[in-house]
Amino acid sequence: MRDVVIIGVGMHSFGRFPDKSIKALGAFAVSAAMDDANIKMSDLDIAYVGNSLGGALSGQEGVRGQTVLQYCGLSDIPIINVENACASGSTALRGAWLEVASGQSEVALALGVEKMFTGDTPKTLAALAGDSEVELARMGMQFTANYAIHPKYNLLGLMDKYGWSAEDYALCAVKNSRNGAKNPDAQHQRPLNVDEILQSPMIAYPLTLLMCSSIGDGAAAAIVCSQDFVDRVETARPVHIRAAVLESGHIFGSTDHEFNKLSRVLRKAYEEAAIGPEDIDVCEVHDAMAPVELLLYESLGFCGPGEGVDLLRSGATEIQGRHPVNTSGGLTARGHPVGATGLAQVAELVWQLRGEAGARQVPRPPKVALAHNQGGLLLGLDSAAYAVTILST
Amino acid sequence: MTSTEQGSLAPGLADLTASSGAQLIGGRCEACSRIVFPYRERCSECGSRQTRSIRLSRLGRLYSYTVCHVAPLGWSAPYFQAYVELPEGVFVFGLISSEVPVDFGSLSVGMNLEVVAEAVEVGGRPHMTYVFRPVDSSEPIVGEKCET
Repeated sequence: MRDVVIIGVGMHSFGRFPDKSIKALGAFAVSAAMDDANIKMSDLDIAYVGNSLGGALSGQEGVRGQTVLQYCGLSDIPIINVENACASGSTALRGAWLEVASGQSEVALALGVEKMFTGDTPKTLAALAGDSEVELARMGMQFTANYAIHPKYNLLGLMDKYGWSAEDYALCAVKNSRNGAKNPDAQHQRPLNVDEILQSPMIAYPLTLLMCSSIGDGAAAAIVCSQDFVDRVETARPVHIRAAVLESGHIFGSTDHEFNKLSRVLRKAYEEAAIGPEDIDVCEVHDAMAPVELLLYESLGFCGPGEGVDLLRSGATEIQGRHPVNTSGGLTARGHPVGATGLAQVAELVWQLRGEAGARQVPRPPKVALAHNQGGLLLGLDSAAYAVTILST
Repeated sequence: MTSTEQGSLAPGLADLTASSGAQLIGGRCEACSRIVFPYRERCSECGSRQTRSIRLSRLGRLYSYTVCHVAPLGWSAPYFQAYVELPEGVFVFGLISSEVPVDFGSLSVGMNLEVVAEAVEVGGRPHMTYVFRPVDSSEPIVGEKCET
C-alpha cells in the first residue's frame, strides 16, 4: 500500500436549510474541497458518496451519489454509493483512501451528505430508526434510551458504579457547546450552561434533550491523492492518512465478558499508524449523546476506567488541554446530519493540523489527529459500524 | 383469531404461544457450545454450521432499565425500556409488562424477571410481543436446561 494524503476538504455548514436540496448541499461541499485542493474536475478519478437516509426521505432509493455529483457537473467517472448509517462518511473516506493506497486511482473524492429536515419530523425519525436493525425499532427501541442502558454504555448504571452525576453528564454538553460556539459551521452555536441542559426535556433518564445530537442538514467532502500527485500541486498543504480502520459490530454471546468493541478498533488503528494515545494531539469523537464522551476517553486510552469525569473536569479535553476532544463542537453542537458527520470530523481535523481552525484552533500546533465515527445498532447487541481515521501533518 | 395470532412485533425472536408462556429463541453452536440471541445459521465464534435454535430461559435478571419520555411513531410515552441478562449469558433488549406502573421505583437493577407474551398498542392497534415482568422470587436465577 502506498501513502495517501488529503489535499483538500470542504464543508457545507450543518443546520436547517429548507431552501437547499441534498444536491445543493453536496455540491457546495465538493466545490469547497476542490477549491481547497486547487484541483480541476478532470483530476478526479473516482468518487465515493456517503449518505444514509436520502432513500427513505426523498424516494431516491438508488444512485443518490450520481444525482448529487451530476448536479455539480461531475460525470463519467465511477461513483460508488456508500451507506453505513452514521458512519457513512468515514466509510466513503476509507473507500477513497483504498483507491489511492492500492494504486488504482491517483485522486479520489469522498463526500458525505445528508438532508434530514424535510418538513416531516416523524418521517425523519422513522427513517433514523431504520439505521438500526428494524426488528429493534419494531419492538419499540428508542435510540437515545439505548445510550442510558445498553450494556456497552450503560450511562445510567455508571452513575451507581462510578458515582457519576447528571451534572457530570451535562458538563460534557457544556464543553461541546462552548466549542460549537467558536465554529461558524456548527448547527448549535450558543454556549449552554449546566442548569439549562438538566432542565431541558427529559428524553430517557439521565439523558435530556440538550445532551443529545439533533437532526440536521449538511455535507462535507475530502479529496485524497497520492504523494506523486500532491508533489505536482504547488499550493498543496497535505495531511497524511496514517490509518483508516473500518469494522462492523461483534455478535455478542455467552462467551463474551465485555462489550467494549471500540477499544479493539482503536488499538488496531493505533497499531496501523504506529502511534499510541499519548501521540494524539486533537480528536473528534462520536458523541451522539454528549456524556458518552466520558467512556470514549477511556477507550481512547486518555484515562483509566471510571476516570472520565476527572479528566473532563480537569480541563484536559478542552481546546487548551492536553487531549482536546471535539473542538468542532462534536455531534451535539456541530451537528449530526448522519451521513455527513464522518467527513465533517475529518475536515475539522485537517483544519486543526494545518493551523486553520480559527477561534477553536488547538494552540500547541497539533501533529497527529484521530476521528472516531460509529453507526447503527444490531440485534447482536453491537453497533453496526466503527470507523477510526488517524491523520498526521 | 386469537390474540396470540395477531401480528407479532418479534417474529423469529420469540415463541409467543408456548404453553409455559413466551419463550425467546436463541441459538446454540453444537461444536463450541456458544449461545447467542437471536439465532444465527452459523456460529460467529468457531464458524460451525452445526447450530440449532433453542428456547432460552424464561427467567432473567434485570441488567438495566430506563423510562423513555419520547416514543417512536405510533408508541406512547412514557414507557420502560430494558436489558435483561439471561442465565445462559446473553443479553436481551425488551420492554417491561404494562402491569408495572411506569415509575423508576417500580423496578430495581438485579431483580428477577420472567418473559411473557403481551399485547402492546402501536399505532392504535394491539400487537403481540414479548415483554419482561417481575417475579416474586428473589432467589438467584441459575441456568435452566435449554431444550429445543
